[in-house]
Amino acid sequence: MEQDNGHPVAQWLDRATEGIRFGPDRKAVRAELDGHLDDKIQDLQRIFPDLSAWEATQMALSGMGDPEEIGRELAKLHKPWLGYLWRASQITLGVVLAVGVCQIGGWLWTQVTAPNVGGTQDSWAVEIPFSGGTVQAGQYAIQAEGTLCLLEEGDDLGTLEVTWRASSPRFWESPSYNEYWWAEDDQGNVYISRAEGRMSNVLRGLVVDQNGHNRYREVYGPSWRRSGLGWWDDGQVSSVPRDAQWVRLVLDIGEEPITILLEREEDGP
Amino acid sequence: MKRGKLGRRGRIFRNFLLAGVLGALIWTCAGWPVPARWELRRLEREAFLSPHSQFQGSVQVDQREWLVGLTPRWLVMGRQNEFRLWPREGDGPVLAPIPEWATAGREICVVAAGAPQGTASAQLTVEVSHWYASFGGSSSYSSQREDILRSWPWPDSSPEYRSETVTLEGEPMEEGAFQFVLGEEEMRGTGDYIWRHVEEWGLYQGYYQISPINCRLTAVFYDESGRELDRAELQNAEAWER
Repeated sequence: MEQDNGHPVAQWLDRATEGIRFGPDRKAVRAELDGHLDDKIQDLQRIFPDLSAWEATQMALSGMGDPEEIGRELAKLHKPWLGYLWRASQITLGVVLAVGVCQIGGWLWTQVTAPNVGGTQDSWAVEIPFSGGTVQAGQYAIQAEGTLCLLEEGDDLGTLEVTWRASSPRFWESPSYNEYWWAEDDQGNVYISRAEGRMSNVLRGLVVDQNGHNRYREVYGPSWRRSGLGWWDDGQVSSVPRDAQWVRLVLDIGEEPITILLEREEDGP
Repeated sequence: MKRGKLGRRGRIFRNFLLAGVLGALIWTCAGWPVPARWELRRLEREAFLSPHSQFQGSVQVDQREWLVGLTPRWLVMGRQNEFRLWPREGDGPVLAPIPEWATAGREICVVAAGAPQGTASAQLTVEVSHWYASFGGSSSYSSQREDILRSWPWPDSSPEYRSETVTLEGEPMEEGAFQFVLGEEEMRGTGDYIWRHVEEWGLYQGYYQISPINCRLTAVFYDESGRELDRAELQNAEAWER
């Protein structure tokens, strides 16, 4: 029942709820008490049909008790901090949900707009497997294994296709592309890093193939792609002699170099 | 109360729990953003760099934040999806440009790290020079006169030698390093294409057969009284020797 502020019911409700400091609670309790009073007035008018509306209201109000007393009890029951905390939890959840929706939306957008890159599979005349090893580099366990691939049967130089894998207890921290990997082999050849390869005056790593073409012995490290909780990627060591027995990958940027030895498993044709 | 309906305390707990779980999920998806110092550590872990560098500070170039650290071997620079190592010679101060051409901001930023103890201020002198020839709408420039004479199709227009010197005051970074910003004001009057090379790592690290310009950067570190404490120099190999 809506009451104007001058009405005795409205005055009673105001006094009974003025101790509740959290606005939404005060409003809810006021509505509930109002409903009770309304029911009570209607009951009285049904039982005593001669009773005027004003008299029924007065009787109902006096039956409800002292509004100050009730107000004190209600204020004790409805602690304001609980109300504010509840409101804070709603706002926090709302903000987090909004950020989440934006995040997921952004991610979906990048998935939709990402170019679909398809790799091309080279066909090799000869493939010689190289068994790899695992090394601990900080938090990462890095594993590499390779296949020495020759384009033609008679080629004296091939490409060592290296498959890299990495895992870490911090599965959310992807290893990054590192252009400082270099390599060496059992014949004393050095395979320069990408960082070194960019220099115009680099002679290290230069080799002439059987056809008289200049080629570089160079290492192309992994860029790392997600695979389950770990990562993988393909890399290359270029211009490896077909009779190389081992190739050692080296990353020497910290206090101690990180090395992975790739050993020939069997003789190629 | 309806059966199964949570009380207020229950709802508060539920809301905060949900917010916490979702927040952690979002933080993970966003790549665990953390303060700059920790971020550089993360970048170094991901690049297998151990031991970690000493954090020098962060530099804002065209709204991108580069984080700078120093190890005995490298000046480390990193930002999202980029990790670069500038080789350090000796244990003195080291000077390197931030590898970023801020086309929008037209700014070039150079960092001087490993400043000596007691450094109160630092100054950077940037000297660039090149040979230049123009005819009609075409122009050409190079660090070597012969290079222009060789490739230039108009033998009558002889190349002119141009040089420019700019002095910049260092802005201290968080941990004792300094940054120098070459802004639009300093670059005015000469073509952007000349200054663009100043922040090219390849210029100093031998990526060119013939350098497009000669460039020399000299940082001088001063104490409170203005006494010179040390200096660091960076230049492309053949510069200034001819």
